[in-house]
Amino acid sequence: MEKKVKISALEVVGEATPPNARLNIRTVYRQEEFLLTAAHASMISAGMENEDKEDTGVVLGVDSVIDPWKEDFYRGVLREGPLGASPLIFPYTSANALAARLTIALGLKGQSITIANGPLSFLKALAYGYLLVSCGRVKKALVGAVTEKAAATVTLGAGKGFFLNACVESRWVAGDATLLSSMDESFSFLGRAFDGLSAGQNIKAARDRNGSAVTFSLSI
Amino acid sequence: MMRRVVVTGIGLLTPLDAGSGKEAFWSAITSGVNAVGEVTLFNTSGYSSSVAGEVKGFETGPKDRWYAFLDKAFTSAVEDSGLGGLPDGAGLILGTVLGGILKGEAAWKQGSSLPEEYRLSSGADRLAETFFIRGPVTTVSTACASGTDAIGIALRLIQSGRADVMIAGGGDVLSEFAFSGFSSLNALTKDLVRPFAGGRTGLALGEGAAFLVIEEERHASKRGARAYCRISGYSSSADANHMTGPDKEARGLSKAIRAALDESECSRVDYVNAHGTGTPYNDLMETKAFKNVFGNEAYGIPVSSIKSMIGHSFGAAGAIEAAACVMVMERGLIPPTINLVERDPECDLDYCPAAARKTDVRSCLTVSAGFGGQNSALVLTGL
Repeated sequence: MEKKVKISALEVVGEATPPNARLNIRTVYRQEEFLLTAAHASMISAGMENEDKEDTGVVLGVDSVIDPWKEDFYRGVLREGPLGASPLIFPYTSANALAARLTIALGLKGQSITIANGPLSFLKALAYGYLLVSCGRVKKALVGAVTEKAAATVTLGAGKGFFLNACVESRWVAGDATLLSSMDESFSFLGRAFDGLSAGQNIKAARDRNGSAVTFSLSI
Repeated sequence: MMRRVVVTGIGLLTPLDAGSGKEAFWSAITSGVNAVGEVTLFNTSGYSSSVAGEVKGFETGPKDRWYAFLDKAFTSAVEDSGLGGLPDGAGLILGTVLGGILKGEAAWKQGSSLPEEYRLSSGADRLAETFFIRGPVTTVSTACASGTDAIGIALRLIQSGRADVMIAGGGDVLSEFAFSGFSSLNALTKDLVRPFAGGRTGLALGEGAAFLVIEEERHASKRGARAYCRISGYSSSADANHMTGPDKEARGLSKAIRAALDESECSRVDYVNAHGTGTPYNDLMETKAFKNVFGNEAYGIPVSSIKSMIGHSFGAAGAIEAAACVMVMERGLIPPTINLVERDPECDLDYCPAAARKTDVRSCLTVSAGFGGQNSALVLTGL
């Protein structure tokens, strides 16, 4: 039986966010700054910033954000051979690098999962985060995603005013599902879902071109 | 009552069997065969090592190497399960670290755009399309814990009722990309992988793929499937400590192991399949984790590392090791940790050196740890 899980409002931080609205922290790539700023805002909004985070999970969706870093790393090798391999950049070529930065910066020690599923990565991360919290595997979770242009986060198991009643991924979906071509579109999609909330259950579905879909239900 | 989950099929491709199947793999790991040798896929001049666990003698034809590995392991697993066609809601979870990296290397060399086959998700998407998979399809990438986490996520999906059958596992190929990175970190051994040994000199990269078919127990029973064992516990945790190095006190891995054991209602196990990469830090950290969790009883639990024989196959590692654990439980024989000659006084557990050990194994723990402080643990128990 699906269970209601508290969900915080969506935070999106990106190139359009004024620099003075971002966290002033040292990062290697600006996308880390986007993610850490959004995550920090989500945790404050959910009242989680000063709580014990031993059982707070992280589920992060990534798509092509680390591709330029991988190319950067490999071009060093192509240019200079073995000596061109940068031990600073190399750890960032792993898809979970951003989730790792999040756990280190915010002290989150619960389950940490990175999902790499194209445009639906964020919504699939939301589906898995919902599964973890609703089944009691973690008490709370920070769910997010990062693209080259922006990062988006929500918290699950905390927050005021909204509930995630169900969130399921599947290969096919009946009925209308919004086609998403990029993960940035999924940020807008979820944002519109929050903005358009009416009384009762608000069921939304999104899919990608490969036939994957995520269906979720939000309520006030 | 929580839905129980059993393993009904295993399929793998490793440097030890080169696609010849699980019996060849089993024969090799129980004989302590070393598959780590000179790399032939690319030029290793100038790197800190020239050895890896490379799959040699497996013909991929025109197919991309990663796809070929995945196809072989996937079809072997499904065949082993006796499922025939996949049921309508069956899903797939794939763990991978670098996916189609060979396509990426080629594109960057040529200055062309990255092809679809490079994407981490393309492996799972392609398998889903080829085999008409209509349940959940997800790619998980949690560094060296990817394969273990893929199985864990599949377990959760079945437990929650979202699927009755899942195929879960991992695959990665050997690439100069990864080789150069680990060389830059001075993490590679120059010759042998010596997990837990005194004077151990680092890891050897590897490659391969493995999948498990896992099912809700009654679903398996109803179709008369042979169930190898149950997957009765899983957890993961984050060290929240360092981008590459593990927490030296092993708090994160200990936590994941405890949570997985709690879920499985096991207080101890008959065998531990270690992450056991052969690096100074990892092996010490793991030993601490086992002692943290099991106390003095840790000295009585056999531990071994298959990476001593095949190297570290990244996203495939956790899945290959889980498949090995299934076979350990089925056959009552623990594979050895090879190359453990000189002892490290700080790694003083029973690592089954030199020879395979015959013993009844009713419960098994397999662990993985990865870059970014990822820790994952799976518990398998007898029926």
